[in-house]
Amino acid sequence: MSHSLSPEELKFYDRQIQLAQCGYKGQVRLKSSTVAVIGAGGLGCAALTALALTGVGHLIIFDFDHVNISNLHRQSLYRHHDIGQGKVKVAQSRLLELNPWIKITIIERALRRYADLELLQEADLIVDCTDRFSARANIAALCKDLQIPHAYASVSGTDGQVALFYPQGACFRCVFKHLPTGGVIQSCDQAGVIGVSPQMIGAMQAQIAVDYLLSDRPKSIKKSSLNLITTQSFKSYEMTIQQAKTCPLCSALAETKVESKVAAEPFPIPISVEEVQKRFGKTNRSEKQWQPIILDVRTQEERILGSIEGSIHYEATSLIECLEQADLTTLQEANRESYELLTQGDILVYCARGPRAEKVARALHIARQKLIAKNELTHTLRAQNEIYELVGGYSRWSEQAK
Amino acid sequence: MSDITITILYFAAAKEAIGLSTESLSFTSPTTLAELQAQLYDQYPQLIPLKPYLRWALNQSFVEDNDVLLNHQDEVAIIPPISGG
Repeated sequence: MSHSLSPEELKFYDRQIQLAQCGYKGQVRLKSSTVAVIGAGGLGCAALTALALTGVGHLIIFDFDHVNISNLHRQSLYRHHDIGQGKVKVAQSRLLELNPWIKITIIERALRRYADLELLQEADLIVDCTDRFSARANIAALCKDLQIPHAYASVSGTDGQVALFYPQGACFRCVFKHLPTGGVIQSCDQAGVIGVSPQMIGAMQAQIAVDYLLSDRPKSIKKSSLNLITTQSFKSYEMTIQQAKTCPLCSALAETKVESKVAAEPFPIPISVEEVQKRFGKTNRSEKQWQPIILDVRTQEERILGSIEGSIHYEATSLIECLEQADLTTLQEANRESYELLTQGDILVYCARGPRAEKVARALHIARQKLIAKNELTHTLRAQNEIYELVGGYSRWSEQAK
Repeated sequence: MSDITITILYFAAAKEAIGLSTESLSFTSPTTLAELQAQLYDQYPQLIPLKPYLRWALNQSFVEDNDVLLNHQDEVAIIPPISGG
């Protein structure tokens, strides 16, 4: 891509180029930048719109999800006729309508901790617009590996958090060492959100990203600040953050002096209802139909009201207890059924809306990794088998089935 | 010794759990952050499930040592991680 600006672009960016902070040089700098935006939901739509219009030359967008009617009140890139479409595809075409002079690469799946290292190597910055702690932890680790800054934001009700973490300084995990699973702290989909808040926070996130891209991009900054924003009262509370000795990421880096594969944390893969239905529906002989074990972890009472065809049932609490307490040999003896579960192929876990499935999937994933580490692979279990958690759970599944 | 008054700020899930964004507490004797924490968990048991994840800040810096003594007009912030996007 040419990194000079055409006469049309000069007109398009005129008001920005007039500004001393940007100027012609800054505009070219933006055009020659690559930014990866992970998540094209509430924060993502706001951040992507701003980054595209500001003129970031190459955007790489990750999202595994599809447009749902409940997204539309806050995710302004999508319209009613986009319902059911993959978010990244719609986002790409809408953003190119807004700014035809940029390049957009789309990846229609969740970000992978290791597999995407190479793809993201060219990124100058990663913008974290995800809505789950596991993804955020992955991004923090990837940014350390790649030595690129992490523009972080998250939102809950009318409260938001925004920060830019530099590669050699304090990171997201220096602030939050312990991250909840299983709905202790809920995301927007579970807890609800007024449409304005993610749009405000997403715009602020784009602002810190643009500020960084226009700057001299210092790498050695150690200190960062975490800005706590209350969108309702416009209040902002700035926290100074320092690298923590007990940070699971930074301490691993310091000890091993190895820049890659720090603090490997096993995370299951989130998957959308639409993607599951697409995979189930495949009849093409060249692509084998997907046949995971479908695991319902709701209560018996919930299951009576309906379930996914062919699913097997284990209640979340007892299954997790079983997986967490026993070592594998005891598990094999004491609870043959749960052990068998680990030795099969792909597993798709679901609950009513998602949190319990996330927790179970994580416990299964950790237990299975132990099995794989001991090299106890069977004819049905291979190292590449994955644990998936159904995003939105049975509630979204039954909506789709209507 | 005169009373010490502390301002407490609650964010996100902590704010939602107790239904307050800020309050002031007064103490007649020297108090550590750990003591304040114990009092708040006692007063607001709904904060207990969040306990492993909460970060506590004193005057806009995260606290690593909970035995720090609080001073008059200190500001304590309770900051949970949030995941929404």
